[in-house]
Amino acid sequence: MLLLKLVNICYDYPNTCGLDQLSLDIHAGEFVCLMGPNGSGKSTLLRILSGLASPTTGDYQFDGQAITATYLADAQRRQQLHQRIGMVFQNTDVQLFNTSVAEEIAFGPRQLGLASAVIEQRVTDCLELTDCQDLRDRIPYQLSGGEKKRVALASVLALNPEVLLLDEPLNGLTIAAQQQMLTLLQRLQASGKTIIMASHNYQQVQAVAERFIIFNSTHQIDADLARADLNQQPDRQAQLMTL
Amino acid sequence: MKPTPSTTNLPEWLSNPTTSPSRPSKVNFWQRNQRHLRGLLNHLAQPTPIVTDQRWHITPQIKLIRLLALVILIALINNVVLLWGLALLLGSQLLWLPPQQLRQFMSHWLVSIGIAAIFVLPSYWLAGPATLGFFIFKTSLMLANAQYYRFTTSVQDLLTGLKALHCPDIFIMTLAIALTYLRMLGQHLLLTMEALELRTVAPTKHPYRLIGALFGNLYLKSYTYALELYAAMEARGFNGHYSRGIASSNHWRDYLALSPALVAWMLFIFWGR
Repeated sequence: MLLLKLVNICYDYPNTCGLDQLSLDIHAGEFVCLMGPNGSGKSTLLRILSGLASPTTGDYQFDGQAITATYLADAQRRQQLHQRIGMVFQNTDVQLFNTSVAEEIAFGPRQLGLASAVIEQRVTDCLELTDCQDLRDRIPYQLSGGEKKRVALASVLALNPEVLLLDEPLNGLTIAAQQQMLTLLQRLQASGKTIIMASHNYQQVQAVAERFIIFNSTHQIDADLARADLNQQPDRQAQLMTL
Repeated sequence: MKPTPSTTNLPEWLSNPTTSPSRPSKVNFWQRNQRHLRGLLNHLAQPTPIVTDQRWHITPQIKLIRLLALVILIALINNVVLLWGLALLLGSQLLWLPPQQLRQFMSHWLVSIGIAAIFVLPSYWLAGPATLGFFIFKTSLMLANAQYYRFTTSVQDLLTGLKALHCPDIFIMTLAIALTYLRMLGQHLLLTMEALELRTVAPTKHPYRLIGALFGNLYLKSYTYALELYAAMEARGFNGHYSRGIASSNHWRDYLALSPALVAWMLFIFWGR
C-alpha cells in the first residue's frame, strides 16, 4: 500500500536550497534509509514528512491525503497526522522536557486519554524495549547523549505511530546500543511499521535497511536502490562508506 | 553492522493501531498561538541576509561612525529642510539595495515605526499634532538609518568596528556572546516546540504546565551552556581580554562615504549663524 508520496518537492531556506525537485513513493512497512553528505537535505525531507515544514513547491500526500500548509493549519488534522507519524530528532536534547523519564514516555499516551493502567503498561514496555528500565525515575535533562536517544525513541514509540522517522538515531550510541536499536527497528518493521531513517554511516545500516535513497550535494536524489541492487554495486557501496 | 537476534516479541499494543478514546474537541488558546510563536521564532532564527558591495567596501569603523553621526544629528536637528536632505541622502543609498532586500527593509522599517509610534503617540495630547508628526518623522528617519546599517553590516563587522573605536573588550565580548547565544537559545526553543507539537496528539489539558516545562528546560540548558562556554574559553587561554582583528587602514572611499554626514553636521552647526 502506497503510504507516502512526494511529487517534485522543492524546499527553500532563505538564501539556500533545501530540496530540489524530489519525487518519491514509500509503501507501508518499508525500511528506508536516507543517505547523503551533510546538508544534502535528509533532515529537511524528514521535517516535511512529519508535517513540521511545508514544501515551497510540489505535492506531498500521506495515505492519499494531500498534506498542504492549509491542511496543517488546522490543529485537529495536524494532531491526527502526528499521531500516525512519529519522529526522533537528531538533537534529542530538544525532545525531552518532562521531569522524569517515565513522565516523558507517558506524555503522549496521557494526551490520548488512555486509562492509567494502559499508560503504565506502555511506559513499562517502552522502557524495556529501549533498555531504559534503570532510567525510569531519572531526570531526562541529566542523561547522557546515548541515553537521551533511547528515551526519545521510547517516548515516540509510546504513541504507537504507523511511521517512524529517525534522524541519525545511532549517533552517540555504543556499539551494543546501536545493535540493540537496529534490532528493535527491524522488529517494529516486521510488525508493520514504516521506518524512514536518515544516516550517513552505511556500515551501521547496510544489514537492516531494505531500500537506500541516496542524496547528492545538490539536494537531489542521486539514486534510489533496493538493498539487493546496492549489494551488486561495489563502487556505490565504496562511495557510501566515505560519506 | 548486523543487529542482534530478536529475543522477545513486541507488546500487542505496538502491533495494532491505537484507537484514541478521546477525540480532539476544541482548540485552546495555547494551541492556537503555538503556531504563531513558532513562526516568530523561526523568523528570528534566520539571520538577515547582508548586502555587501565588494567593489565599494567601507571599513566597519567608518560605517559605525557614519551611523552614529547621522542618528545623533537627526536627534539634535529641528530644521525640517536639513532633515529632508538627510532623508533624501538615505533614499539615494537605498537605491543600491537589491529589490528583495529593499522589500525586506521596507517591511522591517514599517514594523519598527509602528512600534515606535506607540511610544511617541502620547505627545499628541501634550504638544499637538504638528509636534507628533515631527517626532514621528525624526524617529522613522533614525530607524531607517539603523535598519540600513543592519542590512549592510554583518555582526562580525559591527564587532570589528567597535574594537577599532576602542570600545572596552568586555563590552564587545559580552555583545558577541549575547548575539550568538540569543539566536541559539531561540533555535533551541523553536526545536523544542516542534518536538512538543509532534507529540501533541490531542488538546492539552494543562497547557500552562507545558509552557513552564519548556521554559524551565530552556533555563537549565542556558545555564549549562554558559558554564560550558566559559570552561571552553578558559581552556583556550581566555584571560579577560577579547582580541579581535582590526580592519586595515582607511581608504579614500571611507572618507567619501563619511563626507555627507560631515557636511550635514557642518550645515547643522553653521546654518543658524
